[in-house]
Amino acid sequence: MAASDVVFRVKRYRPESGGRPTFQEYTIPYRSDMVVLDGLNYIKDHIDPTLTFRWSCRMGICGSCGADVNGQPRLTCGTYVRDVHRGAVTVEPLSNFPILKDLVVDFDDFLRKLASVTPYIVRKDWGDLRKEYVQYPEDVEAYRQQSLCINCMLCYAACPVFGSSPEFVGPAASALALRYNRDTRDEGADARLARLNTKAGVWECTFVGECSVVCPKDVDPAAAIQTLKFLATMRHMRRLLMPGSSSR
Amino acid sequence: MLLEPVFWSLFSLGGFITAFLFPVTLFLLFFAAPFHLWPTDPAVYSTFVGHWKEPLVRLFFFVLIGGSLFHGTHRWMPASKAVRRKRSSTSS
Amino acid sequence: MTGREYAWKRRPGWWLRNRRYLMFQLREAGGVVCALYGLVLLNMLVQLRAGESAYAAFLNLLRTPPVLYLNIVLFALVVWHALTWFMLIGKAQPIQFTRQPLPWKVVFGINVLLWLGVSGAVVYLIFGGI
Repeated sequence: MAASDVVFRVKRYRPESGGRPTFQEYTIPYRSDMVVLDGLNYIKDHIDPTLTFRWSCRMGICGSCGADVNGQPRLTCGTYVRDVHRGAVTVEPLSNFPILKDLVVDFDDFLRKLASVTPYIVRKDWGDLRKEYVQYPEDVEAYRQQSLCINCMLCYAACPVFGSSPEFVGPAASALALRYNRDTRDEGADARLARLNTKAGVWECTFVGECSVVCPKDVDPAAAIQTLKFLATMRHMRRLLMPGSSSR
Repeated sequence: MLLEPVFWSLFSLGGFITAFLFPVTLFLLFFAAPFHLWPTDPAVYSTFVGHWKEPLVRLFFFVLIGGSLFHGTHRWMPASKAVRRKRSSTSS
Repeated sequence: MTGREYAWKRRPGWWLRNRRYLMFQLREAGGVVCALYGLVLLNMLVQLRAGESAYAAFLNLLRTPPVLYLNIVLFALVVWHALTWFMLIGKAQPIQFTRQPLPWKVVFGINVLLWLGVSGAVVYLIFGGI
């Protein structure tokens, strides 16, 4: 092993053989500017073509390449090896998800949860589709932070509540619900709050806060969930005490 | 009917109560006063009985004890049967 | 797709994985300790009502070394719980008083100042001042 080599310990799992996931070590050349994804691609291209992992844009916007690097949920395209190189770089699939193969996890459940919060503009009546909807900069600013979510699921990997209660709607889906609730063009806030005001909604959250720590886009889903708890409570009380009042 | 929003509101209220009122109260009653480190010696029987007569003091302890009990046991409150089962696996 | 998925299970020692998880567990423990202290305070009032000797017995128990050391540890957890509560208000700001959320350290500072004020009020109004 040359002085400019680095060891990658990668979790492998073959669905055909079942059993338990095991580590496999690869020694690859080190460059000071390489990211973890570069290492994985080197392994696949030159050493072991069976290594399976997701990636796409290489620049932190598609959300495909999430993995546990040295125990922390990271985007492999955005993690420099020089920052995590402690003897060896350990790469495992994202925590809290079932493993399909090697570093590829099953996120059907996340997609279902995302769909359940209607992450798009909902309106009763669209009227003339050629009409412009005016939004001022402050209107956009109200939902801009939550709109940055790239659905990379690092927050779900970081959340210990999701780890033990898989029905929890989770940080990203909640943040995106808030993004649309705060959009002045949207009329679906009440339905989203109704969906989140459930046992499998925001109430599972105990504000550990790790989701916001690992988010590569600073969406701050933890703060979004606490805001949603407050909004859901207000709606709950309104419906309880004033059953006749209109929604929203 | 979902009780969780109500429980959370009381939990939050209890959190404010314990955060703001507990440190000074516990410091006085369990550390300073029993060891006579505080000039007015509020834990001496006669002094405490005197204070206890005031409605404000009674309200203070009622709010403090009620708030802390609710805040600390929130995790074990059944908002529903399903939640109770889940809670025990989440808490550690 | 052939073969089986590998189901994931949360490990029991998950909260030892990093410092933030540990601080979270200590914070939660502090919350439970607050409920315990609530019961102890309730007991103190019961002993007060029971009479001077019962109350004196309670105070003497507080002065014994094992109880004192236990109190020091539990009190530290309560203080940590209060400090993290002020931090969480800053990090979440669920009720927005300002157009954009303030930096959490500013909210933390405001809460600490409020706490000082409230503590002073408690000392003077409930415990007879200095």
